[in-house]
Amino acid sequence: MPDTRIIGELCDGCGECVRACPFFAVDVVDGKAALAESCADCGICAAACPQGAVAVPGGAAGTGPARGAAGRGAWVWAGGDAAGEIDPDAAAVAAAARAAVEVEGEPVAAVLPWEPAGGAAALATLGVDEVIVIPGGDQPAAVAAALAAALAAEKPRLLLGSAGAAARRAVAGAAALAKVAFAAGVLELEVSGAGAEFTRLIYGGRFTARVSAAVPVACTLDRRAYGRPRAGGGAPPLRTLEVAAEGGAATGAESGGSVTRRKVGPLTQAVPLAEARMVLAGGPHLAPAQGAAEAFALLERTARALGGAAACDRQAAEAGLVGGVPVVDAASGATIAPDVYIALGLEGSPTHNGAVARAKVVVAVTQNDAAPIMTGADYVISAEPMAVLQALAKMAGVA
Amino acid sequence: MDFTMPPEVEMLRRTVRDYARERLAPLSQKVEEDDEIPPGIVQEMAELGFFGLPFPEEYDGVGMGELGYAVAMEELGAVNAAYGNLIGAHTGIAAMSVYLDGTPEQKEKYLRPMCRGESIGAFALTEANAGSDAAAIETTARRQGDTYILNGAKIWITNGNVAGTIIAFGVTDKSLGARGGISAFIVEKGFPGFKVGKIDAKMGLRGSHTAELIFEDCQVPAANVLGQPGLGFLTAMKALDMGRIGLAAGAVGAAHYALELSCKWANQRVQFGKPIGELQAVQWMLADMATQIEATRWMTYHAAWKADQKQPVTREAAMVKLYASEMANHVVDLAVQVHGGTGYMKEFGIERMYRDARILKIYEGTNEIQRLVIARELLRAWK
Amino acid sequence: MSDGGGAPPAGGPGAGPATPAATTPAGAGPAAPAGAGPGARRLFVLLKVAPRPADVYFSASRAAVDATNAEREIGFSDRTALEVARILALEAAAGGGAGAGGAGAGGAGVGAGTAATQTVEVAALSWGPAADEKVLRAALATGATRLLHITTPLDEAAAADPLVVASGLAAALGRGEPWLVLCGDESADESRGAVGPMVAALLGWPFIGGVVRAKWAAGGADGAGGAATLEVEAEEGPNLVSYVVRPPVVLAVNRHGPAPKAASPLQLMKAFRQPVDRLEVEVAAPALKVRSLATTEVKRRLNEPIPGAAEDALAMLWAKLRERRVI
Repeated sequence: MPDTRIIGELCDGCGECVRACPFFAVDVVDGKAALAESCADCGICAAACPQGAVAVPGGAAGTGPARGAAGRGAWVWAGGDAAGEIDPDAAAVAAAARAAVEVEGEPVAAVLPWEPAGGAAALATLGVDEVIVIPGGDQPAAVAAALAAALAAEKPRLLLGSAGAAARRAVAGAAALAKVAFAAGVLELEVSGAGAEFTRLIYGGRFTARVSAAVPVACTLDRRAYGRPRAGGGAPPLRTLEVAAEGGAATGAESGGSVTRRKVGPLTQAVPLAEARMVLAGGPHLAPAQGAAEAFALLERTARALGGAAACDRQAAEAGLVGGVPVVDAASGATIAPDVYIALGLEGSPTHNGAVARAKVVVAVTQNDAAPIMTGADYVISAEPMAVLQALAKMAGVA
Repeated sequence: MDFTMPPEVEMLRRTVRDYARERLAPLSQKVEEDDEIPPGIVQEMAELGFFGLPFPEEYDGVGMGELGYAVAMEELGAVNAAYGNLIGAHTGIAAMSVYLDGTPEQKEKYLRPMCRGESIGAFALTEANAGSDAAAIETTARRQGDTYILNGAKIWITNGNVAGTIIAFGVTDKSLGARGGISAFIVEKGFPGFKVGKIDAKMGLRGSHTAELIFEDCQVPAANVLGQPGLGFLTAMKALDMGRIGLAAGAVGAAHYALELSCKWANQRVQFGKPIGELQAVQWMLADMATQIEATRWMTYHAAWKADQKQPVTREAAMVKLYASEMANHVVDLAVQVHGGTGYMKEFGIERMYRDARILKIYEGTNEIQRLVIARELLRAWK
Repeated sequence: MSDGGGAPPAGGPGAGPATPAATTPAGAGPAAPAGAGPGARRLFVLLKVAPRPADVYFSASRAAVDATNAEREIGFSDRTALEVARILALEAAAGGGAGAGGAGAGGAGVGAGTAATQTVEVAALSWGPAADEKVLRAALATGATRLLHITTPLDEAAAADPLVVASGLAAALGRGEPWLVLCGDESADESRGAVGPMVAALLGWPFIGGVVRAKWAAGGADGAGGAATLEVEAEEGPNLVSYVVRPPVVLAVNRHGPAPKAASPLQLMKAFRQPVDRLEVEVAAPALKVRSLATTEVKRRLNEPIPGAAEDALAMLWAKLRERRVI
């Protein structure tokens, strides 16, 4: 039986509670809100009700949260890929976590499955209020179990991870074991009272969904949700949390296997195309056939120097001009969403334009006034594409 | 009445469509230029099961029945008529003859390798003096002990130059004519006295070859008589009935693709300040094309379904072949018109479809013959 | 379609909901397939049928993603995972693994009598509407020898919560005696990559995502001393990392894995003749609620020309980009 009650005299049947409830436990019946058995006393409806017509246990009508003293603070998973490492994006995620709980003034903690190799100095860059070390080490299954146990013991309202592999593994795994609401690829996040609302990407990033859930909530962030890390501050206090890590027992049979991480080598592109925030793309008009190989090599070096990635369109790839540069094309190549996309000497076929429709800014460098990419570009430079590439290279300090 | 496509046929369509669009379509230009389907592709299609689609698994066929076969032909027809023709002549009429009238031993020896694509089939009926008047064939088949000696020449035989198994028709008793005087034989390429003559240069259908087949005292074992001796004409007619359904399906596929290209062009081509798709004249053409394709498609599926139910389909098969061939030619003609100048230029592919479609009204029984078949069935029904 | 006719006992279709704490799965779970020895290593591949992304668009009037005319297919990542499983099974059957110089038929190169005694079978598992069964049969035509289909209805809210899906899949896996679980890294629609690590955690197994390659280590499917290991390569951010893995583990394969095979008409028809195991699982209560949807595609662009020669135009462009805070 839920302890939450609707105050009939105040309720005007507006339905805001129905819209807010993450458990589908409220309905408007005969003009008044009515709660179902499945109500979890989370208090989100109370926070949403403009009339203050919801009485929540442990607080006055119209206030939340319902879970008493539980539910404070935001945690950031900071474990990197290899033992002793810190996730390079942890500071940015911590900044995002702080922004999400800023209004509440709650502490932000970094959680690691090991003591960091860089010692206190490494911790100082995180911009968090404390660092918690849990058991688990480099065994993923143990880490997820330990993090889940830690969540249950300390009850933070929010657990965030970066877009990286280690964070996804730890945060999603822990969420599953602790039965905490989880979403990946979160773009925007708001935590208020007992609830959280976030926006996440679906369909490979073509669309966004706005989702609500009761706290605690666990998320991994999309890169675009990262905050600006705070500078300064000394090393935060570090404490070890001893938790008994009980792994999942769904099979009840054998325990999991083991993984041993061996060598690491860079992938061909310094920044994978899908993650690059700046992309330089070359088309068939970037350079004549004889000069194409050097032109695309220059394109790659320049992109790398600018911290981005190089690409080409389907037309250039089919003309055999591009070497190993990946293709951007909705039908037959990659669909990307960089912050800046600079198209040099490309026509802009419909499938190409569709693949870059989510870029924040599209710049077209072309001397063809009728090229279809013109309508799909924010800025158009009508100079010779090769000249512009050379100017970019010079600006980036590339020979 | 449930018009839902059976799930396995729907999935077969997707598989064939994806293969045709991703693997075969990019080769279309090359097939047209070289007048040949790359041998690696024929091998690949054989391994995937394309040569035995309607036949039961017990002979290494795929067991998709006529409906599955029709759907597969539709998707192949959309890409290039050459593939449809290769398989249509092989599966639709040659292997079909063995399937319909062969003994278990003949099916084991010939149908199985044909299903696996190890031997390509050809259907050798037409001669210089016997086209529509198929009963007037002059190739003789004289019995000599345990062998038949065939003498004569067949012309315009699809797959003739690559076939390993040829279904050949010869006169065993001139006095009886079509009623008891023509027999069907399974001829292997290697039989003494068989050779391939000239390969024809055609208006279209490049990549698919028709050839002259010459029988000079060709020795065929008596065990290779297909069906009852003397009743070969019946075997031919039965096989042609079934083959017509696949042919019609290929025509539907090609017409549909022409419509798709025309609609895309109409959306893209701007004249007088707007896409030509906004002009009523063009819209009416597209609407007519679509309506006719829709009608033909369902007629074809229905005929295939009837064939799978083992119901007689002579009338439906003739109607479907007649209608689909006329429809495809009309639609492709309109497609050229919608495309204007680009519809005439080789680099765009529409003109190839126009040339390839013309044969539909002629082969596997001219449309005039189809009309005779339909009329005969009608008058018989309402005597 | 035949309903698993003749093969599985009580644990098969229509079995009661799984309870995660079950120590001995009720009815011993789906029966071992004919031909697989008692020690068969089961590779499970998790597949999700989703609308084809190219066929899906955003309906602004209804503020919803319109997938009504979209063809449904097994997601590309999932098919890549199935291909990895297929290759592992193939290599095992040929007595493959490092040290088997070239896997020929019958394990030539390994020597007579040393072909793997462990058979490796690939089972596909999916949770979705019954109507998707025909789409899933393509898995039987491209590497899977068994298909398990959870048909317990999932409403939209439940389907949007990865924990609900992962709990159901883990429960079904628990009944199936899996040795290795593979899945795609990202589904075509939900783009989450959450189900993999969640299933791993619920099973108590390690998880590796971004896998692009997996092969048997020395000793092949039998392994040295009975413990088979795999060499796995995964993309993690800008690095390619290699792991030595001793199953049971969960591996999520991404789009850069081996190209998935297309089903041939021949294999497809055979797939339609095979029985499918239909299962039921318990549906956990969802913890997420989708409130609204929007599109990220930028509809209107500025179309602003930047005049001048290359260097000047570039300088002006960079100034504008700084103003807009994109660099």
